[in-house]
Amino acid sequence: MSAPPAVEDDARIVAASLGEPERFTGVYDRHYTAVYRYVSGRLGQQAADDVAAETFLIAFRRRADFDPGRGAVRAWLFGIATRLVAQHHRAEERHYRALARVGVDRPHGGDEDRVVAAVDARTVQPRLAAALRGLSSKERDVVLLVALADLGHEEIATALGIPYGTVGSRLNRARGKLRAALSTATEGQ
Amino acid sequence: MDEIRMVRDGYGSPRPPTKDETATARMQLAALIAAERTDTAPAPAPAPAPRRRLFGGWRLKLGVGLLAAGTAAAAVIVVTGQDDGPSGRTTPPVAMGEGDFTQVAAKAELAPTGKYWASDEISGALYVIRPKSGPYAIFGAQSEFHTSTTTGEKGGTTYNTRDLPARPATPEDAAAWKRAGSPSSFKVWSNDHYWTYTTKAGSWGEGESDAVKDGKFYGPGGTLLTKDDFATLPTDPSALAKAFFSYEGWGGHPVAPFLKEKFKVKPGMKNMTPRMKLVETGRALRNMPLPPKVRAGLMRALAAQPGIQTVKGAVDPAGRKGIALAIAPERITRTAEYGTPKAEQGAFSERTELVFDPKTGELLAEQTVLTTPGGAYAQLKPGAVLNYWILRQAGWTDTKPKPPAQLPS
Repeated sequence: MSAPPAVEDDARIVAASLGEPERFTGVYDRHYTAVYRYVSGRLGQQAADDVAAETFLIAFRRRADFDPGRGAVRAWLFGIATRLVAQHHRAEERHYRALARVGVDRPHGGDEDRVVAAVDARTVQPRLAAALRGLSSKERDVVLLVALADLGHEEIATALGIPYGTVGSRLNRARGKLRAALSTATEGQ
Repeated sequence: MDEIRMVRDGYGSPRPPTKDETATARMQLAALIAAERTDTAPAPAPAPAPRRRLFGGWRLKLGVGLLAAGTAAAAVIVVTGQDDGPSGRTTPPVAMGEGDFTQVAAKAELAPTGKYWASDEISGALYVIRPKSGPYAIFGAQSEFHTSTTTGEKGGTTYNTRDLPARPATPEDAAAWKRAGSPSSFKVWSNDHYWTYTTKAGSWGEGESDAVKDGKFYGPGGTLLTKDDFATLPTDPSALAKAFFSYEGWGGHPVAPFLKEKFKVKPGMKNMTPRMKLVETGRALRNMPLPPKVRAGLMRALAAQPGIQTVKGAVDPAGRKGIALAIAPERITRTAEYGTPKAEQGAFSERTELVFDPKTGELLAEQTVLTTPGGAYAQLKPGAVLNYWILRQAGWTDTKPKPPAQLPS
């Protein structure tokens, strides 16, 4: 999950892709795996498949809007992915279980791909899942961009379009909540 | 305690994508790129457009939402396979010959065209409320989405959305709701948490416009197509089935030979299930400006697919009656796994369908209806609509479209 080093090249590729769209596959090749793993961590593998792909389709369509002065391509991509993840949860509420849809389509997914809130229940202990669920969605975004995508504060500020200072304050608040929730759970055992 | 580390350890290391997943995603991107290359429109202006937000436009979100919704359901649902057949209070789907539906499809050929494309849709879901005075069902999570597109060189698309009030689902439910004191808010179980819906309507927002699409529309396979591009789609059902129900043709746009080679595209690489075909057809009929003959052809194409049945006497949540194309009922079991309360646990069967107006051939709704009551829906009758997208309007018009002020009845 380490950051691809050539940040400047990324921006140049995006700029070049305006005239030569094929160049954009270079952005894909560099970042797809990292974006996939981040999304997969948050939503489970089944959703990661679609959401990670959609991230790059959106990025491609919106590449004219990319402003290198505002931060790196990587942060921009994770911002798009994070918004898609958020949309996922809104859809969850709206559509409740409409959707045996994917579940039915992919019976092989079974337990492996089931999703609880933002958390893959298979890999996360229930108390951690509960602690994460206690965070606001904004706090969760910040925590998981650090924990799963290794983004720095500045990158997160770019990704989420929030001030640098806000990243730190959200992270602190989230840490406090997690600490409280996790220590209670541990003592209770 | 390092909380971040605990979170990271807790998640473990998400596995990287498989080769197959990587190739599929890359192909989708390549197809989008190829579509842009073959587009006669000029490439995006090199000067960066004013940067307002990374992305806006709920249609995009909507598309993803639908996708997403599918996965979300996995949270609480264990699908145990297709319904074994009628047992207890199951509605027998009234099978019709394919010929009967063909007449409905023929009506779709007569739809008018115009300067603007507009659609107005409502999504929502059914929830059961269980007060001491007796249970009743409401439609909640109701939102209305308005989209209008002006085609042509100076064209563009605007989106708008508002929340709609929650309401009792049927007259019987309304009576039970009154007995409960006509509450104006409803606490419901949603997936893995409680959520409250109210009888208050939201107002339309300011709307968002999409600067990227230039009066174009999303077509199959993530393509951006002009109105005229849609006119080049075939009208023959088997050709449309090929374009929409396989990844072979990328929605009628053949894969460029170099891409075929590069990504080893094989015909039928990803076969669609009846459900995927039905959902894809619904998406196309709701959101794509298909010429009437293409619409009709696509309806015929879906009707002819294995695993798709015709159902008479379908009713949507707006009370409109129609003929539906449906997939076989599926058995759903909800367990206590995610904290689901007792009353919401248990098994039931449901069927997903597209409902058409038999007089005009228009799509009325995409919905999931209860076929065998049980679990959370034990008291409901077969035919109750559990989840839905209703179309208030979708089509061409000559007057500039505006979101309707009036609430849907």
